[in-house]
Amino acid sequence: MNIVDVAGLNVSFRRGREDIRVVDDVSLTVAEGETFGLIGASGSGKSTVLRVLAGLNLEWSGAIGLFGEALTPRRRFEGELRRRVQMVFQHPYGSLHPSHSIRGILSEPLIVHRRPDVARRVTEALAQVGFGPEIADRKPHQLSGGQRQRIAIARALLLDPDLLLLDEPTSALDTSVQAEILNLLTTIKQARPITYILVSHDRDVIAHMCDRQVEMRAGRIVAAA
Amino acid sequence: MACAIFWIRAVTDLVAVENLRISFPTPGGGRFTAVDGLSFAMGPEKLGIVGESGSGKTLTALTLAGLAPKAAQITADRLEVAGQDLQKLSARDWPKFRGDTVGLVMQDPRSALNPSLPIGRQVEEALRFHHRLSAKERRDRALAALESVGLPNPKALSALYPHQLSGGMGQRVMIAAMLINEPKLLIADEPTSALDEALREQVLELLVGLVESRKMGLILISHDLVQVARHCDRALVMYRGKLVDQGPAAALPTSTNLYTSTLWACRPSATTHGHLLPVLDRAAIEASL
Repeated sequence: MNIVDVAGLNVSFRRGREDIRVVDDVSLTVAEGETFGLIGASGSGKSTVLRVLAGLNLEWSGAIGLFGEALTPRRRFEGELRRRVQMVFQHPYGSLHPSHSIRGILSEPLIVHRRPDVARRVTEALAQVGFGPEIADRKPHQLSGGQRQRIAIARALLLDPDLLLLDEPTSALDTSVQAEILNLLTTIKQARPITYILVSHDRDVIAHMCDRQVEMRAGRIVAAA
Repeated sequence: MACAIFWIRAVTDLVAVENLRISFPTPGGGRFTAVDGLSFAMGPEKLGIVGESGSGKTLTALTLAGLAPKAAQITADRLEVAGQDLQKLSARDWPKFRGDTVGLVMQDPRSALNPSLPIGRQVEEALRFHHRLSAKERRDRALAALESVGLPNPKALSALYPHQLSGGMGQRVMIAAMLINEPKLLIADEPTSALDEALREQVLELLVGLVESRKMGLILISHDLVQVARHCDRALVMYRGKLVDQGPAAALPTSTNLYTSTLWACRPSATTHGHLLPVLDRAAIEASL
């Protein structure tokens, strides 16, 4: 079953008087359980596609189906969709609140979604990405880039998503730390049913991780593999 | 000219570093040693320094260019570039030494260039400081420098501001500005990591070609072992401020050092698809230091 079905997606941004089309007639499907790669240089529109699928960019036209349900442009994600789709960003420093503790950062989605047993779930989520419970009292600036990215992954997994959107999750990291994060993503996928969409400019990362991939250039899909 | 203040001895080594130690005060009142007893020497060759972030490679580069943070305490038994003892250079001497003898290309051209000056002016600025030339001579040399780094139509380009350039063009402008005074040593700190993959090889080949044709020394700081193996003569491998491995750059893939070999092997590729990547056994590496 396809859990992502995108047909004729267009996204434009207004600059002054002109519309700049950053995503141009993009169609793609992602099957359940797949790791799908979106490769391209900076400015190719690959991150914008991901942001549309995450519900972070609501201005688009075309047709998008997520888990068999059609999305409507300009409408915020509601209900289960907000749990089922989670995202990990490129810069873990910018995506973790600098003055919240790791405990606060990980508790927030659980509280918002009214989950019981917040403390236990936070400890479990930390264990899943290889941390002991003692790290929960620290703040993001006390962690290295790789540690912060593991926290961002733990947060994205807390609500048991079905689709994880990964926007250059390792490009700000050392190769040695990148290997640890990629291994973490691989082992997570072995342990539970989950679908990944991985955006990267790095062909080697895409080749290592993905079952299928497409390449974007200037807003269009130019090659599938 | 003011260059008489430098007493240049017979130069056998372009760079000679012995027992370099760089430390910082920590909030708790202790000291953090960022570079710990580093020694190396180089001639007019291409030397790569590799290692993870925090290994001290950038700090070493900044020290050789006199740009280490003020809080850094720097000691060394020997710290020389082109025969000049860097520890004897005063704050007043440095700006002259930098540019004349050492050039530094930084990671991100967008933050290294002045956003409010046209790029032609910025390339000329280096000349203005180091030479007495007429405005026309300066302009001509700046245009020639922009042309030598493969920028099309330098005349029109020199009126543009940094934000109007792509990352690759910005980095070429940086290289032009650094080479215009023909320094003996060029230090390039991750010169291509802010660039898209397709541009990296191009910019690096340009850099290496210019350095070779001018018989300069190049220190290439990089976390990319493949890049260093391909473009450098020799490589130093640093881990937490210490030199842990060194040898011919082409031998990086076959190094028997645990740290170097894991760094080489942990890169993902199509052949590793479906497998876990080797990761650093930090405890074992610490124990072997």
